[in-house]
Amino acid sequence: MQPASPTKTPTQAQSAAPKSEGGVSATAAYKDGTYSGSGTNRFGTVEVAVTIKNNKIASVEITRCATRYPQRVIDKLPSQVLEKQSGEVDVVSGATRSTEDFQNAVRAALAKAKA
Amino acid sequence: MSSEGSGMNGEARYRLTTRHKRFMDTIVTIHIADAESSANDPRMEQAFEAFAHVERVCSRFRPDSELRRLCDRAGQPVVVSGLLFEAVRFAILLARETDGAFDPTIGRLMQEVGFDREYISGERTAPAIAEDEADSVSIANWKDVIVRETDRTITLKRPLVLDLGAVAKGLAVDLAALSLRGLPGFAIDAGGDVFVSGLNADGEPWRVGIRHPLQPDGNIAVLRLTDAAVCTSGGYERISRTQSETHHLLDPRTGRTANTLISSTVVAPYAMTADAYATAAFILGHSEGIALLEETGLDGMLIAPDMTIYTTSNFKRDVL
Repeated sequence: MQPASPTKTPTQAQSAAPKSEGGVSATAAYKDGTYSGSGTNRFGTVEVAVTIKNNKIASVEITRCATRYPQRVIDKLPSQVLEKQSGEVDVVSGATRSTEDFQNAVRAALAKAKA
Repeated sequence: MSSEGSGMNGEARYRLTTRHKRFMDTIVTIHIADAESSANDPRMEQAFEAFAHVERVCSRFRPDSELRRLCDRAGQPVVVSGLLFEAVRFAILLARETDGAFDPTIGRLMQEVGFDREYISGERTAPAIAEDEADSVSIANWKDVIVRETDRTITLKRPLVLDLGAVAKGLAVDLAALSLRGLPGFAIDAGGDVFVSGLNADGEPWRVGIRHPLQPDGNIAVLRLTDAAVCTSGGYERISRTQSETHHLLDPRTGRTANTLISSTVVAPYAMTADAYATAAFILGHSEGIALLEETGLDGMLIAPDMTIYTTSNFKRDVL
């Protein structure tokens, strides 16, 4: 995973408002602002912009998603459904292809946002 | 992110506009195929807003969700929003139909095996359950949820944790699809819950790949579809943080990971139906799973760990 760098200077840092929901220790205090992060795995690279408002994640938008869709030749699969294998698809069901790198990207951005 | 492109061969009939956003602990992608660029089409924003709305109502991970507030008020009838009512009503219907193989009261069990936080951010957000309630919660099942249409109330007969994970995402896809109605073509992908409508940028039915359960970057089949939802549940997707052999598809009847299948795909008119039935079939296994789909009139494909593939009789109709 690549290191994250803030795209925008965080807005006015909030004086710590450590909010704890049900005593959960993982609740971190974040500074308002928009932070970028990126994550890479073997399927591609994802960059995100995480916006923090009032110590909460207000939005996460993917700013770049360079995900490959390699279509491997699948041989020796015993199946009636492989009558034809198309090399091109518009969308994939069951795909979580960029979830891990996305998760890493968000974490990288959140690390930057920590107060 | 927003990206645009034209279809293949430089002879695109439509422009393809694609945006991604993150909701409900997953990545939501919307593609619009239209004669004009749809980058600024307000329907795109409205479609994303459907996900935000369903998440506010149905999330097990948000302390302020309507679902969590309902779970805090066990023992009394609670009037709920139409959206939450429909999601719970549908989940309970399917629980009855599958005799509890599908069970939305599985939330507590999910927490126990480590699904106690958002998958993507890693933030721990599950509700704490008091010690003295713990026994009661672990024996709760779908029969403890009373859904009454006349006054739109839901009563939890004992403390329990509802999990609408297999319903809410599909419901959000269906609502997003309503926002996009009227466009010549669109496809919505919410972490593998797919809905396609109209035609793709090449003026053809959409090509929906079914992820290969053992090769994450390959497809095991490609479907040509329009105006249909496809959902694939797989044990390969989300692994418990605390128990590496445990994935997110638990059998409510045993409390353990369902392991007789590795992938379950359902094609249905609505994403909520496709998602919930894919989950139910996954837990039931190939024999009962295929029977459930045939009885319901849905198409599907189930894959066993040895890669034996079982399909409903009409499934091949859609395969490229």
